[in-house]
Amino acid sequence: MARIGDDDDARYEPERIVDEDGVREELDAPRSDDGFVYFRMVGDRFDGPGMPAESVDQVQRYSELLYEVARLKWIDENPGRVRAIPIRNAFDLRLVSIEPGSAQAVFQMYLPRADQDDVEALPYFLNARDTVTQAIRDVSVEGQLPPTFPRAAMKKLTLFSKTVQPGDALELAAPRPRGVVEPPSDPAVLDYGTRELLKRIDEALDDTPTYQRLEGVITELDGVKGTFELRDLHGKVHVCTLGVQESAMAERVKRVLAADGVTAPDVRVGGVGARDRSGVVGDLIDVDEVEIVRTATEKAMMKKLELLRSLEPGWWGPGTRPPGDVPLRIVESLAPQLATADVHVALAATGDGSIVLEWRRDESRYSAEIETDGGMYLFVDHRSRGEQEDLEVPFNEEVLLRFVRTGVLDD
Amino acid sequence: MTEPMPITDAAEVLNRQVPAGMHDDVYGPSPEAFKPNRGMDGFMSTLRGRVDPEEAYRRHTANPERQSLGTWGVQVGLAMSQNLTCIDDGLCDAETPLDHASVDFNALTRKQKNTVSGILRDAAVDAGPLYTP
Repeated sequence: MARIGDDDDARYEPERIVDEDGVREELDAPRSDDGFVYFRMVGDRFDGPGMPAESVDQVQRYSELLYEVARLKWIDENPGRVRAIPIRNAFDLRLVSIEPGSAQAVFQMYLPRADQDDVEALPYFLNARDTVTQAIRDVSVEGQLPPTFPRAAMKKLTLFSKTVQPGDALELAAPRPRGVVEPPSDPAVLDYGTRELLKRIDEALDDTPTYQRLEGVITELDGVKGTFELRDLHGKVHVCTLGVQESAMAERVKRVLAADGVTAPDVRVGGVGARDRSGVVGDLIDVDEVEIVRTATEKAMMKKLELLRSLEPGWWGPGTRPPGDVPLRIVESLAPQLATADVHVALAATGDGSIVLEWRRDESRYSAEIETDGGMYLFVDHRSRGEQEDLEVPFNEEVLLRFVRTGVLDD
Repeated sequence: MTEPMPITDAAEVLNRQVPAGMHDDVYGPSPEAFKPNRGMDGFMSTLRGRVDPEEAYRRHTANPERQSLGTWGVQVGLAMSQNLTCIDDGLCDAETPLDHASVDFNALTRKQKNTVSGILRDAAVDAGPLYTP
């Protein structure tokens, strides 16, 4: 076994190494062939003895990636100590051999002479190794980075992945137990497809804050801070900060606020925000746009329409039918106009597939039945006068909307 | 089997179920809920007033295909005043359950059915639901 290292380097105690479990061993003692990590390069160009000289680049980038992840993890857990000196001093990953008959690189993690630094750094190197392996596994299998992978190390991960050529694959796994010769059952595989996925994720993460628009319901307003919360159509809550010149906007927000957290119009909010690694827009700042896109009435109408759409045959006794496609389509298309009428328009199903619109104006009661065969039956009961009128005609949008808005029954 | 019998007690209040598809959050039950059921040849299906409204609800929703928001009342006297006949037809045939009563709308035109269903609905709403779960 060739060893890349230098016994003359006074920084090292060659007898002290760390194996896959983080246990210090004597260098010359029998140990796992895998060393610090199972790292195997697969592809035609690796079939010969040793490994291609250009693959040294891959090894170097892997080493840099591990160091970067360990450094970021250390900084994350030691917020006041941004220089990460113990990590830097302790990091010494060495390629100690290429296993005969394969391009399996064997690394060992060396530790500096005994002092406090190595003890502090060791868990971060092991954590970095596992974090990188898991990240590659998650990207290749699920197409996304795990939350444990530090976003700031993405560039290093992408650089590492760029050493993989079409037809290549790199298998990473925890080192096998001593004496085990079977390959790992579930290695993380970095192939060309994973490399391309990583590239796209990296590009998405590069997204700098730009003007974004979100739709949802405003659920909370803090007038003092000039912030409000928007629950978007997927249920995600965004904290939105009004622009400094937008005092009038606070009044608008107040008007469309859902006092009960639910009943309010859907609004479109525009401001500056960034997307996360999944492409989801986060919080917004400098908000200068709050527009109603769907009134609370229209939302309630669409919700009722969904209920009617869910009815099954027999829902109101034997032989009853759910609302037909024709009336459902007509009412859905008219919902925005019906919602802006000056009266509340209710929806009801009949047992024969029709949908009835019902409303009241003054002392009179109105209804319009949209039938499955494309017909329409309009009815008004002026009960105080003891008079009723009706009209049976083919569906006509103009006639219907005029009837809703004015009560005039005329084709 | 029994023979259908007219119900003549004007004070009796028949039990009528109202499904969510015929109810509005603002207006309450729709007049549609007080019209004849499709497939019942112009008859509106109810249960006799001797049946407790909660029991009427339970019997209706015992069939998992049928849903109801509760039981509202239809007074026989009001129905009679609108030229409707109320009939006890419980167990008259294999498909008609015990204590069933029908309200016959067959003598009415479409316009009259709409008018009368509105009257029955308003009276039921004014009286309030007899039972809601």
